[in-house]
Amino acid sequence: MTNETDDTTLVQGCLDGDDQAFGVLVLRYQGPVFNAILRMVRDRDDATDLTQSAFLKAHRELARFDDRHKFFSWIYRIAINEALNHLKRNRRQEPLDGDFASDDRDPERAFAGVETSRLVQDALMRITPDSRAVLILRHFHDCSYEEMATVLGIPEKTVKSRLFTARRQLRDLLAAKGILP
Amino acid sequence: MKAHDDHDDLIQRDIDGRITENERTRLAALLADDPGARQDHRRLASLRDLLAGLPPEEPPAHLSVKVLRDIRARRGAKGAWSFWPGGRLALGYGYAAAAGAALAILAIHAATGGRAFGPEPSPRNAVATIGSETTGPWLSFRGADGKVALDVAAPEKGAVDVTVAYDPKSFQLVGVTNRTGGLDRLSTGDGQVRWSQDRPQRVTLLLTPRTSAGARVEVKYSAEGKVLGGGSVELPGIN
Repeated sequence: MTNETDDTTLVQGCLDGDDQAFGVLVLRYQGPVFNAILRMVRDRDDATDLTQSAFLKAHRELARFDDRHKFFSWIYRIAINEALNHLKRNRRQEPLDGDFASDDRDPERAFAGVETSRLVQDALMRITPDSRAVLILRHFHDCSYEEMATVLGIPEKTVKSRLFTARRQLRDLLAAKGILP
Repeated sequence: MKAHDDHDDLIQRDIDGRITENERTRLAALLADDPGARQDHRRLASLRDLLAGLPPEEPPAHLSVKVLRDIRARRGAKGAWSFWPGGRLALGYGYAAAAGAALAILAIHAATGGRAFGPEPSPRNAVATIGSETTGPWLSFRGADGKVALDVAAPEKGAVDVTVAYDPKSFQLVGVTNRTGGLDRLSTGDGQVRWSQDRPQRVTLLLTPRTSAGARVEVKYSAEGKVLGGGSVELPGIN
């Protein structure tokens, strides 16, 4: 098994008891999965635990993987569900960063990479987890409507309407802070 | 209302790169005639571009190792296992790059329980070794496809805890393997790899240099909190 082996072959290798094959899948998808979860929950330690949990669940339930779908859609679905369940379990108001809550930010500074990333994340945390999920899958993982529908287990029409609303919410939040025109 | 929905859909499809040529023509007409639609389109495009420019976060370096460790723990198995992302080295030591033997030994140091007696390139292309005259080499490294494979075989017959410490700024841990079985409580993080063994084991760490400078890696083995031995070796950086 190498880094070039396709997902389907690797999955079959895992089902045959080859942990190395699963190791390749983990290496291949740990970055995207970790980032998707991190955008959902914001906390890096939580994201690490949830990513680990998502891969363990994937390994445990690999026999149920339907190879008519793409592996990445399946692992994303597990990852997003892990994040959503985590947020439900820890149902509390996410503390807003003081800087985001204030209006005295220098717009030029706000465009600096790290600051912008943090402000975007703060804004993401202000919209519902379901809406956040579509934004993350679309904008950070370049998923198509069809892929998002598969990952989230909702009709494509719902994906589009949810995306429409979520995008405007995020845009307005960032515009209010001078990050967007 | 229907026309408005159609306009929104057109704009959204364009923002998502899903627009057809026919729709593109309709969108161009819409944007030319409707200042509100034009502003909406511009602001959504700005949002898309802003989000596209945000860099992804690096996952923790030890994440993949922890996942594989937990899978193994869940099985409750103690058999040999390995985790090599490239796959090639999992086939055996003989695949280690022969060119690795040409690497210079930068330093060897024995802390306790053994003394340096390298350089002594082994058949496995070891380019530095450390150990005692009675037990043979127990700490060695070799080049492997731009990475460094560090072999650790603590020369202690009984149960010991082994700790390997490296500078995470200098190296990224990409794999840990043990082919003889019997490792317990393998853990990684903060520039350390730790495990317990109830009998002699050979464990190989695969590290990717992050800098050209190289850095020292330290190994110690202990029992009941008492350090029994250890050593350190300077690993090469990026060639």
